Formats: sequence, structure tokens, C-alpha cells
Amino acid sequence: MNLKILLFVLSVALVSSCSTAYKTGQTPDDVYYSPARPIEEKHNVEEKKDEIKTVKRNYQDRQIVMSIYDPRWRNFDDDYDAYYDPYRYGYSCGYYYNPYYYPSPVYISGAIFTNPKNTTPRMTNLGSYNYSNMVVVNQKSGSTTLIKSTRPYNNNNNATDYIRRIITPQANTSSNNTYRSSDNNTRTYTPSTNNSSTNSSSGSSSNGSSGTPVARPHRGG
Amino acid sequence: MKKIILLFFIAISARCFAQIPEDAIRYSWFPQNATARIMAIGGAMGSLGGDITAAYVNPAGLGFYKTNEAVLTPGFFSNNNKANFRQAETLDKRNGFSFGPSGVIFGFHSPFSGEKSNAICLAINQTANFNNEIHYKALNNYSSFGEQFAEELAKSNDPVADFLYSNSKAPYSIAPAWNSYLIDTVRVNGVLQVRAASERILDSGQALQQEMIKKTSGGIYEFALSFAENSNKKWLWGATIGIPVVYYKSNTTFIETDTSSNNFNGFKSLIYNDNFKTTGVGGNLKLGVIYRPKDYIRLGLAVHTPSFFLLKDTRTVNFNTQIESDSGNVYSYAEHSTTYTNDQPGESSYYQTTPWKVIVSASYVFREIQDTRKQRAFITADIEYLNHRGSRFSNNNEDPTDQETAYNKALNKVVKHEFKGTFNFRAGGEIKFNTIMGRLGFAYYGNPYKDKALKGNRTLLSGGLGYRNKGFFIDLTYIYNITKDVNMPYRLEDRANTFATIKQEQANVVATVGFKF
Repeated sequence: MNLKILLFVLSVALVSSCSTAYKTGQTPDDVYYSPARPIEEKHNVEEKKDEIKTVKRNYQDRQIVMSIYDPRWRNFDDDYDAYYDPYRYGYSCGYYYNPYYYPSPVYISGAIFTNPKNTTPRMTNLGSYNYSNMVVVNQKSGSTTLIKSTRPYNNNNNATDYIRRIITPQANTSSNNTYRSSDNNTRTYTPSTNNSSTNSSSGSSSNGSSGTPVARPHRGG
Repeated sequence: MKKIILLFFIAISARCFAQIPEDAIRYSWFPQNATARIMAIGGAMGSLGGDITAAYVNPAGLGFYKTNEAVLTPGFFSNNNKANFRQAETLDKRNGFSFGPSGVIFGFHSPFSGEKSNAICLAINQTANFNNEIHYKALNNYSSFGEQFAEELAKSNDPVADFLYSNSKAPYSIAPAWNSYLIDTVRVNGVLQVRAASERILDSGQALQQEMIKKTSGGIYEFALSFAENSNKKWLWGATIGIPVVYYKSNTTFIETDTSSNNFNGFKSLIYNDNFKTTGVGGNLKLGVIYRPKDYIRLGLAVHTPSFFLLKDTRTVNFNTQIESDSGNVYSYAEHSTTYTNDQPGESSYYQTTPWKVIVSASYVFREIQDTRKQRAFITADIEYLNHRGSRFSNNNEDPTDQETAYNKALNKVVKHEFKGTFNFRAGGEIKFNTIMGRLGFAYYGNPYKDKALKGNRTLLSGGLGYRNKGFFIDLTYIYNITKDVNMPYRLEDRANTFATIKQEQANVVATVGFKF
């Protein structure tokens, strides 16, 4: 929002500062026809040149007046004199006089070292986008054709085309996490066992994560 | 040129990865923003010329200028969104400010040839406006928000401990979902599976109440430096170097609650909050020509190269869950993604290129004469082709992992499958009465989604008035923009997906003030 306000103010200043040459006549409409710009009268240009000269002369006058009161103004236009350079002495006469030289490592107090940024991208399961390819076999010729089928959508709570698999807790069991299902579920989980475990105290896993392990809170807070 | 731009970005860029397919059309599917005069005629500027908007459409149109001009285009919009999610309608509003092309144009005789004239333009424009708010709420008895995280863990086949680190590889999904008990492992018929706690509600035949609130802000702000030449009054050509700056911010809240009074079904509620920001800068080139076969008639052709963006995403995510125990007690868990991103927001940077764009256009300008009292009218129309499936993502990681490389390839393939090329149409006209002008326009932007079930298009109806006198001009335009789109709260691979249809009615008022100098 600040950027917008700044741009607005700058633009208004720019627009309002423009002196228009079309105040008294028609405003050209460049969509239809754009005439060449009217040339300003010559005496105006002459006046501007005179103004520049006057400004230059005034500047010199002011410099003379200032030099009367302050000697520094007298050498204002002189070339740079290395004699007055405060750093010249130190560099040419040895490191001892160099104000930036220090014989031992410099430790800057107050430096803050932060952990590296986590650069994990915002990824998604691209399998949820893909069109599935279906192979259609021509019964007569035996040839196959690959066609793309669109994904189905469920946008209605009364839809009967999409029945959710019913998975209910298994009765007569002491485990809270045991269920039974009449259908196979695709979210089976078979983690590889050659990676790190939850009890690992090492600084990183072998599969992309790093840092210190974060424990899961106890169930029930 | 493409190589130079890429080399420039490579030189200044850091580590980077790819993103998600929805990011593709955010930077390609938006209506053209223009001055009030051009918005009033539907945004058609492919052949008309004589307006600063030409810098962003067909820079050859700047070649008509022989005068100097400074313009400023502020705007105000009001969005009224109607969302239909699982047959329940929700209304929402969002107002805000915008700005169109603003800057200066210098038209002058060519210093090398008396026949020719040139124009230089410096401008800034908000080419895309992301300010919006989407809100929908409905019952869902089929799928749950938490299932996407269960699916992700199940597909990974990695031990869950691999994700639970202070610098995790899944800091926005598996890690906080697991530690907030939104997902867990269970044995089904003796087979280990990953399931969301909320699935027990659905399995028992109950519905979850789902509510989605997504607030977005920002835009693409493009600086343009243009040069145009009017060669012999028959041929005009021009080029624009565009530097688009991206600022996109979104805050997504998804709330899922158990609608039953049963405290023994394992799940009570989830409040998920996702703060996401994209910033970056890019570069593009716009080239165009206008041919005048005879007086009154103008034919235009413009080509826009892709914008090459170097973008950086910053993200934090919160999971607040209420999980019911078998004894009926409700326990709350709060997980923040920064726990898994070294106690600071996660950042990732990447390249994104937008599609090519081609515009052909024709105009009929009645009375191209100097006396403004005798200038009468014009009509103009553009046809634009934009290949939305041409967006590409890439990384600049020096040694990308096989997983990153595979994801990039798959992502670009999905973009090609999900989106398609569209024809966009813009048309309008003006009638002029000396210093007063009246205008009407129309624009239509086609559906970028390949899937026929997903409807998306934009229709703009516009009208406006203009006044030009004494070196000053002002234009005022009203635009009624109807946008139809879809929004998916989450995606699942092994179930049918659900989405909300969004109908946005936007009232947009744009003013342009300018001076000739």
C-alpha cells in the first residue's frame, strides 16, 4: 500500500509540474491524429540562457563572499592535496600508524548466527492431478488405442456413485488402532527399515531431514 | 535475449525448487489492465495506438505519438463472490484500490530522418490484481482435509521419524499433521495403513462440516520502457522491455469439525492456517507492428515473450486439532511449521516462466485529422491467443536430487495436461463530440482448464466517458467483470476430488487523468 501511495504522490507531482503548451488551444488526441509539438518562441529560449548565466554569476559572487569569512572556501576549486590526507601518513610510514591495522584476529561482538533456512518447496501430490491413461482394445482388429479419461469428482453429499469404504474399529480387541475392512485400502504403509528411527539422537536423518529430532507429544496432552 | 535474461537470473539467484500446478495460471490468467479510456472499450489496444496502454499490449501503438503526455490511472474495485460448495452457497465481499498504466510518453521527430517520428515511454502498471477473498462452507460425507496428509505419508514409504526433525523435509504437511494427531497409523485387517482421525466420522456415515476462507492480496506490478517508430505513416513498430515485480500473499484457513454429538469417534475439530507469500522479479519483451493499408484502417500484430520470473516463497502453517480419546475426553494439540523449519519461516526460490502471447487486431478510426472538432469515432477489436499449458517451472540447484528433478519434470507435465491454450477477445468503440467522448466495450477470456468439468472464464462489460480540453484530459470508466472459476480445498489421488465453483462479480471504477506538455 505504501508503494501505491508513493507512486501516486510521485505521479501527481510529475503531472502537476508539467507546463502544458496546449492550455489555450485544442488538446491533441493521439488516437486520431498526433500533430507535431508546437515550437516555443525564440525569445523564451534566450531568456532561459540569460537565467543560466545569471545563476552562474551569482554562484561565483556567493563563493567570493563566503571565502572572506571562511578560508576553506578560498581553495574550494583547488586540486586534491595529498598532504592534507589524514590516512596518507599511516600508510606510507608503516602499519603502526595505519588506524585499520590490528595485529591479531578481530572478533566482532554481537554477531548473530542463525540456523539455515528450510528450503522445502510447496509440493503437492501430482498423482491427484494426472489424467489416467486407458487402453482400449479394438475387438475386431486387436489394435489398442490409448485414451485419456478424466478424473471423477464428488460434489454432492447425496451422490451414490461414490461410496466411501466403510472401515470400523474391530470389536473385542484391546488395541485402539485396530480396524477391519471389507475392502482393500490403498493407503497401506510399509516404511523402509534402513532409515533412522524415532529414537535416533543423531543430527540428521538419512533421507532429507536434518537438525534435531522433534518428539511427538504424548497422546492426551 | 532469453539466454541473457536467464544468465542474469542465474547469477543472482540462490537455491530453488518447483512448486504446484495452480501457480501456473496465477501469472497468466487475468484480464488486461489499461487506462480508463481503453478499459471502456474492453481493453482492446492491439492496433489502435495513441494511448500509454500500448506499451503493455502493442508497443507499435506508441508510434502514433508526436506529442508529450503524462498520465495517472487510479482505480477502485468491489468484489462480490458467490461460492457453491457441495450445493451450499456462501457470499463474500472484498474491496480495494488498484492502478492502471501511469507514466510519461515523449513523442518527437526522428533525429535521423524527417519522415520518421519516434516515441519513448516510461510506465508502470498493475497488470494483475490478486486482491480477493473466497469463502465457502458445507457438509462433506465423502472426504476429509486430513486425508491428503495421510496419503502423502503412505506414498512416501519413509519412516515417520524421518520427517520429525527441526529442519524437516515435510514441515508443512506430514510433520505437523503427525504430531497434532491429525494422522496416525492403524492396522486394517492386519495391514498397517495411514489414516486421518477425521476419517472415522466419515466411516460411520456422518458428515464433516468444512469451511474454507482464503484471502489473497498483491499483484504484478510491471515497469515498462518502450520505444516506437512511425516509419512512413504506413508501418509502425515498437518494443517494450517489461520488468514485472510479483507480490502475492495468501492466508488460507480451513476448518473441519465433527457434526455429531458423539465424543467417542476420535475427532472433534481441525483449524488449519496457511500463510504464504511469493515475491520476485522478472523480465519480458513485447514486440509489435501496426500496418495502415489506407487511411482510417489499422492492423496490428503483437508478440509477448514469456515472463522469466525468479520467485521466492515464504510459508508458515499452523495445525490446531481437537482429538477425542476412547474415554470421551477431548485433547488439544497445536503444531506450528516453524518447529520443523529451524524456528523461522521456510523459504524456497525457483524460476517460473509464463506462456507466450500473440495478439492480432484491427481498428477503424473515422477521421484521422488534426482538428479535434472533426474527429468522430473509432471501433477496434483484438483476438489474443495465450497458451496456458506453456508455463514452466525449473530449479537452479547446482546438484539437484533425483527427487527434485523428477518432481520438476512431473510438474511441467501436469501443467501441460491440466491447462490449455485459450482465445481471448476484446472489442469496443468510441463516439466523439468535440471535447466529450462516450465509449462501450466487451471482453471475454476463455477457460484455461482442460478438464471440461472445470469451468472458468471472464466476461467484462464496460462503458465510460472522457473529456479533453486545454491540454488536459480525464476519462472515467465503469467495468462489470464476471469471473467463473473453481477452487479445490485439497486434492486426493485415491478418491474423487471435490471443488467449489466461484462466481465473482466485480464492479470496477477506473479514472485516468493526464496532461499534454
